[in-house]
Order: sequence, then C-alpha cells, then structure tokens
Amino acid sequence: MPYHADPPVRLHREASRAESLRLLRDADLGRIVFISRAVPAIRLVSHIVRDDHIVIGTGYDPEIASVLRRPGLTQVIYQADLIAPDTRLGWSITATGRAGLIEDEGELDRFRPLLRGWTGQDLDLFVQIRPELVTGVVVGARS
Amino acid sequence: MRTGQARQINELSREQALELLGTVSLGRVVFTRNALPAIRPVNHIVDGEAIIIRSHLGAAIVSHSDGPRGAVVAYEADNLDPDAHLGWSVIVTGTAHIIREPAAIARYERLLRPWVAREMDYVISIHADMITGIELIPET
Repeated sequence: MPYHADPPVRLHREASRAESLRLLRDADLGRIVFISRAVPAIRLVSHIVRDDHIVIGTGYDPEIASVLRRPGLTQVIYQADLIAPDTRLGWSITATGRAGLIEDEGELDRFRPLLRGWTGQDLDLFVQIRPELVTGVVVGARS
Repeated sequence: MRTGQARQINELSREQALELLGTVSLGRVVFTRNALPAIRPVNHIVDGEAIIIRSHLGAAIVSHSDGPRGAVVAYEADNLDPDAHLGWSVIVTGTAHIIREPAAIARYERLLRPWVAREMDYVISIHADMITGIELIPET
C-alpha cells in the first residue's frame, strides 16, 4: 500500500549545497556522527561555519578525542535541523566530510570566543570538518 | 545560546528518557554503512523498551551480514528550544532488526507518519540497550 505522510499541504524539496550551508550558518546546534570501535555514535554539539568549514566545540569527550586524534582525517557526518514539532515544517541538512581535532594554539584562540557550549559547559575540544558532500531537505507548506 | 538565562542540567533516568522519547515523533537514526557513519531523520514511536521507526533504507540499516542479532545503531531525539537551549536530549544505543510479522508491520504502519513523503519499505525495531539523556531547565 502506498504510504503518504501528513496531509498533502506539505511540500519537500532538496536544498543545494549553498543553501544547506546557509541554513547551517543560521543554526548553532547540530550533531556530529562518527564510528567509534565499530559502533555508530552521535553527539549534540555547538557549531559555527567559517570559510565553508564547520567548526564544532564540545566539552571533553574521550570518544571524540580518541577517534579524531588518530593520524589522518576521519570521516564524520554533521547533521543539523530545525523542524517545528507541531507542524513538522522545517529543514534538515547533512554534511559528510573529514574531521580532525584543532590543536594549533592560534586556531584555538581564534575559535574559542566564537563558540559556546550548548549546555553551558566549558569547551575543551574543537573539531574542524571539511564538508565534501552537503545535502539538505526543506519541508514547507504548499502555497 | 543567545540568552543569558541560567540553566540547570539534570541527567535523565532510563524511564524518564524513554518517556520523553515517546512525546516526540521525530528523531535521527545513526548507523554504519560500508564502514562509514550514516544518519537519517525518521519518525518513531516508543513501544516498551523498543524504538520503532520506518525507513526506505531498512536494508542499509540492517544488512544480512549483521545476522540474527541485528545491527548496532544509535538513535537520537531531542526537544530543545533553538534559542534558549532549554529542553532535553536522549541518545539510545541498541540493536536494530527488521520486523517481519505482517500483523506487527500493519499495526506500526498505522502509528508512524514519515517526515518526508516517500515510499517506506521497512519497519525497524531498535532495542534500547543503553540510554543516556539530559534535560536543561531554568535554574530556580
């Protein structure tokens, strides 16, 4: 049986890379997704977008520290969305890319004042993600 | 966070976390696909200790190579105010398996509304093995 979502007043469309990054810039909270010891993991973190790179900040997290400190850059996903709980209108974007801990003191000094922990915690880890594939979905009301 | 409001952080018990999960219909399933991480927004219901989702990606989330015990996935849902960051977030780690019983599929399909209208071909049950959650409430 074909299945339909909410009544057909909703319209969904794909967002371009540029639009997706713009939506991401307007938000400050998202989710970093990675594989740690063969198990998928997700963390809510704060982010900013700078020069088409996503920079996230988080409190000390041993799993993020060990996964992203490995030599070479690790493949992660960054996801953010803003969806109204009642109407479920909104957007969701997903960026896939390589990530690494920022360890350069100059870079850390640059990013520390720009990010704030979403739970109010002190930020200990800063991660830079270079987005390769960026996709987005926008669900709006049909006009 | 854009407001200066003082907030208090509480860790949620397993029961509180499952109860809050049941109050929202959208979350994100996180899984491994070709050894790389993957995430999809989906809708869910909570049935006892299990989170039930529908996806057109069932075969990718739970592949045959995972065997009868299913695949390890994570599931995240939250209800956070985008400005004040008050609310809660729950992360579940568990094993996912595809539901095959027609009666159970029919029952769950009636209860689940996909976020994006497209053909949904699998109903998946995620058994919550580990649950962590926090709530952020205004400091009194």
